[in-house]
Amino acid sequence: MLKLIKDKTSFISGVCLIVLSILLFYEASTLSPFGSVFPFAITTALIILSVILIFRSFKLEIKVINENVSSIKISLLVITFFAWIYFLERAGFILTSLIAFNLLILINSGTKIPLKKVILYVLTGSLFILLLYFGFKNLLLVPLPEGLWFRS
Amino acid sequence: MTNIFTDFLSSLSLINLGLAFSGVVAGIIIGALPGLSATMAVAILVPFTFALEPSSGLIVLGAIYTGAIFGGSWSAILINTPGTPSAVATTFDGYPMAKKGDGDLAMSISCISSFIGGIIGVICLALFAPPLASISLKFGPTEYFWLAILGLTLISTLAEGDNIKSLIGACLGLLMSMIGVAVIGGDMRMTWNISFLNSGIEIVSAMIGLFCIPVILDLTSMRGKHLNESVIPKSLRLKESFLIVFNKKFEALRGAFIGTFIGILPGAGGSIASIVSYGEAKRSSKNKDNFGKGEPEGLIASETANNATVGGGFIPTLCLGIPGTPPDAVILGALLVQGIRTGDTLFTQQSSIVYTFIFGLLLATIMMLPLGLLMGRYAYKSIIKVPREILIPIIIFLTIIGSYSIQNNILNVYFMFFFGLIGWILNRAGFKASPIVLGLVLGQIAEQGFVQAYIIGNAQENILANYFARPISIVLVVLILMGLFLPTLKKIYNRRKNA
Amino acid sequence: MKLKSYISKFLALLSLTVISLSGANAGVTNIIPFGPGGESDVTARMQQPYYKSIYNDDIVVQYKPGGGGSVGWSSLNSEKNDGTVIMGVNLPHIIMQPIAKGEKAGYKTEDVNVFSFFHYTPDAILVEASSPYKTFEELMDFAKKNPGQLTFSGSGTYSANHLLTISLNKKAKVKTTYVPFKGTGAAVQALLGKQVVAEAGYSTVAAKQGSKVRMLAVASEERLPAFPDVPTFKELGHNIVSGAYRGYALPKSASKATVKEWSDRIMKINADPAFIKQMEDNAFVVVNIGHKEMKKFMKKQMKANKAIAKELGLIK
Repeated sequence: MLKLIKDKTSFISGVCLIVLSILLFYEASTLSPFGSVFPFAITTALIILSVILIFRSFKLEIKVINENVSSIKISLLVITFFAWIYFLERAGFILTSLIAFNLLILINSGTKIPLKKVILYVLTGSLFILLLYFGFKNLLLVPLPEGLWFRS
Repeated sequence: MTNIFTDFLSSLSLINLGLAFSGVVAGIIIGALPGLSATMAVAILVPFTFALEPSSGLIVLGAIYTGAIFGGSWSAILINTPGTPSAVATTFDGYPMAKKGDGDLAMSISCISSFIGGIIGVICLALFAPPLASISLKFGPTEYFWLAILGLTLISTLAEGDNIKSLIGACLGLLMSMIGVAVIGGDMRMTWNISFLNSGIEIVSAMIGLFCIPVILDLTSMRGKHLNESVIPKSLRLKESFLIVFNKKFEALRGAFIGTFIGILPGAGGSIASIVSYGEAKRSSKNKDNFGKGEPEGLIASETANNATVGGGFIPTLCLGIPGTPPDAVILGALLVQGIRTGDTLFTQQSSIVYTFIFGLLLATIMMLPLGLLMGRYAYKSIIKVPREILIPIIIFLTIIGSYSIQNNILNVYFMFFFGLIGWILNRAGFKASPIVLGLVLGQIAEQGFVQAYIIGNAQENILANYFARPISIVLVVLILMGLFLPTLKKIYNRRKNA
Repeated sequence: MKLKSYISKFLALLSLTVISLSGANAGVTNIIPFGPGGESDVTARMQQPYYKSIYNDDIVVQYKPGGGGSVGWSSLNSEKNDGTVIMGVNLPHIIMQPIAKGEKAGYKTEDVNVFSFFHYTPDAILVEASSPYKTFEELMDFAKKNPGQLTFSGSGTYSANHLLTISLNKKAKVKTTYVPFKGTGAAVQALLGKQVVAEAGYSTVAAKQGSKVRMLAVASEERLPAFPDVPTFKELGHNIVSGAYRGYALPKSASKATVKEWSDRIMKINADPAFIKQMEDNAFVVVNIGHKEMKKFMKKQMKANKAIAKELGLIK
């Protein structure tokens, strides 16, 4: 059966979309008359389009050109990115940013970059962070997180 | 007439010139940083303007506003992230140009286009404000609905090969625009008990996520440089950019007028203007197929339109007291506190304030050209040199600090992050960002217009007439039909001719 | 080449020190739980210069919009409680939202530590200047003869504007149609563009629009000083006194002394004749409800709003 599907990505997308549309269609039915007009209309359109997509995935494949990605680097990046956000309010802006920023530099450099350059990047990067931190805080009056852990 | 002349002179005062200058510079920098919008820049500065003369305060606010709208194109071109929502269509061709090595060309073209758009907008404000204001009043819910539909038909032009997926993308965008409390009916829709979603999807963090995260993720695994070195590294490429824009002067003017017109419609704004202008440019261009791959025409269309909304947006703001765009709402509040009444009296009794302001805005826009070209050159040269290893953390840092500053809320950062991941996955599955953004931006206008028109038509006991039997609506419907069927009709006609 | 990079690094360090030293001013933060440009924003900005001249300190206005104010109010109690942060609050919002949305509102009315209401904007019915209806009675006449055809524009559903039309329908025994718009600006635009017959709005619309609109009735106790020719609903025979109250709150954990201090500060600004005149010129009605009167006032408001909510079917 799977061999029959020429365009696997479209097939999977189509199936997910149908599930989503049905869920939303159901929610639309709980709404007031005026509030449900558009939801009904769009979810119906989406169901029709997803069905067309699924049928099309059996017949032909429109190739999607993607860059090749290294899963390790991406996973590390995503995890660090998320951790940066997660600890932002807990450990405070400066601390979290300095750690995460430099961590990311290391991740991206891998083993190829000489140590001297890495240190240079770390220094300039930290300078940049501090510059923007104070700029946002004092000039633009944005209260960046102070760090709940350190509040007495 | 002597009044106008003295107003012109007072706009040239040292203070006002200094304010216009610093306003433009600050505006460009703020606009370039994703997450910091023109609205925010203006809102922060308002208290400082209370110490100034009303016209001087207006000048600095206007200068920041116009600088920011231009500055938004910088991050759009360099990291595919609209610095302000109004630069969303700039990413479509600006970023591909940068990747090809034409980044400096793109920055210069963007500056020249923003200049042209801004000037046209201010001229219309100066000469035609009252009549344009009354035209904007003729746009009721029905007209807004048809205008949104016209915008949505652009999906077919934005589609790059895969029509079904583009339509699905637009539907997803439309659905996302319905999240939150419905204006009509008051229902809480698609929030699933997440109170953060109560006011709907926040457009700035959504754009940062949708456009920037995929770039970051792709950059990580790439080897080599982020943006290719300029094709002609040492030269200024200024002459080239001026020539390109001059060759497309008709397209530039068209974009400027589209932008001005959309600017006078309250609730529309720069993002819609840039999208509509881009779609229209693509539809009528001879280089259709090059759009999306780095076509200067697309860049010109987007940047002329969004800067034209600055001048255009002031028309309903000053004439009717109804803000044309979000920054106008802030400026309106500031005017109220200063005791300035908007409306006809502004142009008659307090006309010196208005005209000094208009001249000041004109000067700020004129200053934006050399300043923008110079600053842009410097910015481009520095960004190009930054190695990938440090560029990625810098971009991530900017997205975090930017999305946080929107509402001083960490949830926006989380949202930006997850929305971006979803966008990246969709991207890899073949669903491009542009139709989704289109649906997101136009959804509310389409829905509200439709339902409001229905309620009013129902009250007047003639629903159909309310949708169709209105002069402006008829024009819009004809445009929609033309846009949908003209290409196919042309094909049939050509086939017949060749047979 | 090396010199250039040293210079740029030096400049960066210099600007860093300058920027880090420049800010860090004292000042208090006033968080407005709405977007900029609205009435809460405008009145907060009106207070800024008076606060500065009396207390020699800055009020820094910040925005935290979302959920019609609920995003701000649900985060109020996690702000600093030492008196450096206050937040704008609105009635009937902080009462109606928890009632209508229950848990989804994100906060409870009792958890909002309001210490002062300093003005309110009474509801009002307005028509466009060229409208054939010159008085409120004429408008109602039209409504009685043509049920459903009198369209009112207003901001939002179940908002103060909407509730005004519902009260009107009941008290004047007419059937009108309410058309919700997103925000006061859009509602005014629809009125000026003659897309609707009238607007259910606030008195401030009349102040802003001047001669472009005609205010037919206002829902205040007495006629507004800025509009002496506009009758109140009471005078017209309908007991409708309503509008939006605006004031400030502190986090729940703030000390009683802080609450009293802030209440006094706001009341002092309220007593300034120049401030009063500025507010009245813009059709705001100054009220002086400080922390002493707050408990009784909120009790009364809760009772009144709960009754309305019952009528609307929002609570059983």
